[in-house]
Amino acid sequence: MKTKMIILITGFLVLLLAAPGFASDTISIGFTGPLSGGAAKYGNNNLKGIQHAIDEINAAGGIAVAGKQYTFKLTALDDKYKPAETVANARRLMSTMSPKPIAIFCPHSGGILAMERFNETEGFLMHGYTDNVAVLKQGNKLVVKAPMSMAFYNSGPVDMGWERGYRKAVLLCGSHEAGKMAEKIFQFQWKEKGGEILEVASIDFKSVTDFYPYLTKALSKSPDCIYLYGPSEPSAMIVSQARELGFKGGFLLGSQCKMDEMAKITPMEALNNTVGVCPVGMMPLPLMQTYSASYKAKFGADAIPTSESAFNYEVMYIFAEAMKKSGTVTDPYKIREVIKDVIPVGEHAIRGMKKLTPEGQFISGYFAIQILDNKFTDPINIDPGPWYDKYGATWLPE
Amino acid sequence: MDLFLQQVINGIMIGSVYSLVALGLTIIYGILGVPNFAHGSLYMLGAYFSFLLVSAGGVNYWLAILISMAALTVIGMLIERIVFRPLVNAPHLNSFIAAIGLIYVIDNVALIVWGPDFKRFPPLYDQLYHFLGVTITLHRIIIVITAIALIVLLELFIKKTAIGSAIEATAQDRVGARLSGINVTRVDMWTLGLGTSLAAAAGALIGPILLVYPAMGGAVTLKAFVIIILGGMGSIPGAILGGFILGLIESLGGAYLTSNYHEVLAFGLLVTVLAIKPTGLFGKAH
Amino acid sequence: MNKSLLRPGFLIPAVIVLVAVAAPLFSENRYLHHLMIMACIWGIAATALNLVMGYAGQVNLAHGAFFGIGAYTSGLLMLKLGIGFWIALPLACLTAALFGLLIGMPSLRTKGAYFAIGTLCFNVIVTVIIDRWEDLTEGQRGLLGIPSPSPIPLPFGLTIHFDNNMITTYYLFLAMLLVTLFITRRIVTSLTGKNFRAVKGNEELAASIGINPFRTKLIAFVTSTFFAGLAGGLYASYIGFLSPDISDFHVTFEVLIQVMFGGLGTMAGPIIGATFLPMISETLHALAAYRMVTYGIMLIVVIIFLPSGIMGGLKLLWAKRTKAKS
Repeated sequence: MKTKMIILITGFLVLLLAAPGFASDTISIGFTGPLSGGAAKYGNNNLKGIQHAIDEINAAGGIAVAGKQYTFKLTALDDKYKPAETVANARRLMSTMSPKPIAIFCPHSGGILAMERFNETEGFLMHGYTDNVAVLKQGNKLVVKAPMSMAFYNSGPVDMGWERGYRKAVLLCGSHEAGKMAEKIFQFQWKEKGGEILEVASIDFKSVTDFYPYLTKALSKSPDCIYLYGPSEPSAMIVSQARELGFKGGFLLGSQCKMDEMAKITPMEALNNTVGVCPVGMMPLPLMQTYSASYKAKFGADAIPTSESAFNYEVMYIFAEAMKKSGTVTDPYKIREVIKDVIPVGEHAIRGMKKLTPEGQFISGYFAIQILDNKFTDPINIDPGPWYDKYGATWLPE
Repeated sequence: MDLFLQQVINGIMIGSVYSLVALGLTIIYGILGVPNFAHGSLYMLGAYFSFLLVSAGGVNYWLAILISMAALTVIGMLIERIVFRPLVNAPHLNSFIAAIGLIYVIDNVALIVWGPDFKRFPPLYDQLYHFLGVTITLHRIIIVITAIALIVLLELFIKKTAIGSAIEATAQDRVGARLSGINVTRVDMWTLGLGTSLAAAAGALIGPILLVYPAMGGAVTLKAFVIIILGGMGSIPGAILGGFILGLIESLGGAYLTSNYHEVLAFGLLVTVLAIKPTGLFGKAH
Repeated sequence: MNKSLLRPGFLIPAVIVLVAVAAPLFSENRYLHHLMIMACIWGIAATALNLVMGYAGQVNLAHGAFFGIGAYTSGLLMLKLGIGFWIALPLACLTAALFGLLIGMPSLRTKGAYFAIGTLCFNVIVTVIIDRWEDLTEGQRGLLGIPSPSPIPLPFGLTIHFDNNMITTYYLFLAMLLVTLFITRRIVTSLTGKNFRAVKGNEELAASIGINPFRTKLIAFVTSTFFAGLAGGLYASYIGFLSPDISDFHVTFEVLIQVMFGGLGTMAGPIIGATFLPMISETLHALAAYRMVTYGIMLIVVIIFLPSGIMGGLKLLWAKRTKAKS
């Protein structure tokens, strides 16, 4: 009995040790982002996109690079949104993964900026999921970023809100980095149109328990619209509470507010007269519909695909295609060089990234959408072309 | 809309919740001398339990509050037995570190079990009332009334029951209480259970007008500490008054003083009070 | 008294320093180097906190704020005024100490829990000010591109570079840590150090033998903030990016846990905590979602069974051994 157990265990251990030997060659991909704490959901949404793409590629037998077959291996580490932990994670991934990761994904600008200090010498590509253009301004040669500038995402809702006749706005944005940036950008855009800003309040979603005090003050100025920028669910609560306090006007939503997630929290009647960015799952694109279905099949019928998952999914495919084309899985510079030639990546171009600027910005459009009469209107396509011709990849209002 | 009056109402509503949380914290500190930084995590559990009972179990809201309070009483007693009792003779700093360890454990277990998503209660008491230019939902009125009722009940419990008087005696003089035959260890356990059940009540009461998620306790823990220091450590009237003061300062200060430095008002207030009276408003002098 | 070089009080630190100096020469592993560099930074911060908390008995929960003030001062001086690292760093320490004086004066009038939570409030206030004073600190956008320490010229046309060189950076930070330890040790063994302990033991008693408790506490507090500023300044130039989170009270808690884990009121304790706690946390990555749960349980278990930290445990072991011998 005892010997049998020992043989079994030894056999298992041998198998475990030998397992990598049977597999085809692997390419390592790293991820460092918040997987615990308040931003855990955000980090996980990013991770799901990468994981989804890698599982699909591996299930199809991997990729062939220079005549050799490779599969991908993803390692994800929690950095709790702290740059110092991002650095530790990147160092760890580079030192302990075999082979060394060729690309590291990170969903916050602080971590990306901290890694930009050594990613060129260590030799790894980075995908920074952030709409903070600062990550492109450091001249780093190995960073790419899929989300467009926040100013571009704002432009659609701002135009549509203006056309609806809103003039007097109050801002209720998160006090996180993106929220502060949204505040600046919206004020600039709204004033440029000739609109009026009545009140600007930043809300620390980590420490605020109730939004009534903020809303009471904001509504006492009688605005006709409220601009929100923050995580979907707290933003949805702001909408609910504003309606309770008698606000009848409209809501203009920044890109972080996902309207399908908000609709899970707040009834559609309260969400009437809301203008925002169309949720990825509702984009009227055939590729996106296929993706949405496969996302739900993989992560459950309740799972909502987000732009975090969609962008990272597509970028992972772009990296894979670029490796095929450049014929290397070890030289990040060569891979980076051919990225512009492999996009769009066919049926996986779900967000439609068609162009890459020299700084590393992928260019893609989006749809704006409204909620009127308790339902979503038809999405309106917002073309990135004219906007980018005018402002470029790294524009920010001063 | 009347800005001033509405903000006063807002402040009283949130203040009543702060009072409940702080009250639990202050009796725990008064008896055990434990700065229980994990109090907010227990408040989070209270909110989750009642949310699950109401939304998944279809249990009546008031029954759900009682069940979560009972469950958290047990959890509080277990925490006392397992974590704080072995530290009873160690410096308070050790209990503090253990409490931080507890935050990691509780918050992350919640994250694993319930996931990172924000949850919202099904609609309960959404009726709106308007008077004197003020708008308020029924649930907010219920929160204030229930919180005050619980505070009164706690006072009665301490004054009228045997356990209550044992708690009061221990708070005043631990050694004396032990000499007069009170089982101080059991009092410790009851106190942690009682304090924790108040946190659970606060979480269950305010849950329906907020979002329920694993990290929600962080927002109230620091404020609760500010309140009990403001009112004087271990002082029950101090905690009640401190809670309402903080609620009002936040809502009125946010409206009239500053919107940019809104969240430091509480901390600035405490620092100012301590500079004038180093033992808080109701604290005994050393 | 045992004055031999082989006595544990000398031998153990000597061996540790030797290992610390030699370690990077045996490994090319950048991850290890990173952990060692961070251990030096946290080691300085933890030693500083230990001075005020372990020796003078004041639970200062604003430590993260001073770390942040040091980091931001050196970062801003280097980025905005173009001042070199070697001038910016001492200025960072002095600025942190100045704020230490300003915050210490009112808060040291309070005692015990009032002092702890009062300083914790100061910590929150400092973080929010760093966050909101965007014209100076860039707020949430953060300070980008803080340079590495400037090169040190040597005779014969040689220079030591720190840019992208983790080994030299490590030795520089290790040297800073050793200087911190040396100075702390001198203070602790001096008359001032005796006053610290007297005040920690019993303020009234200390006052009755002619010690000014307030002044003594203030000295400990300000010295501690000086070194917290040093740790912050080193952090800034190593990571190169600062956001307001670096002054957050969670930083305070992290350093506090390191001190308690290693052993409060001992010289080696904070270093042990600062070195091994991050390493344990890193090892636990393998547990993924259960990582922080395990970390929390470990903290609770250690604090219950080793109430005086690792050093306390070692001392107990040592006492048992010598007792068994005799």
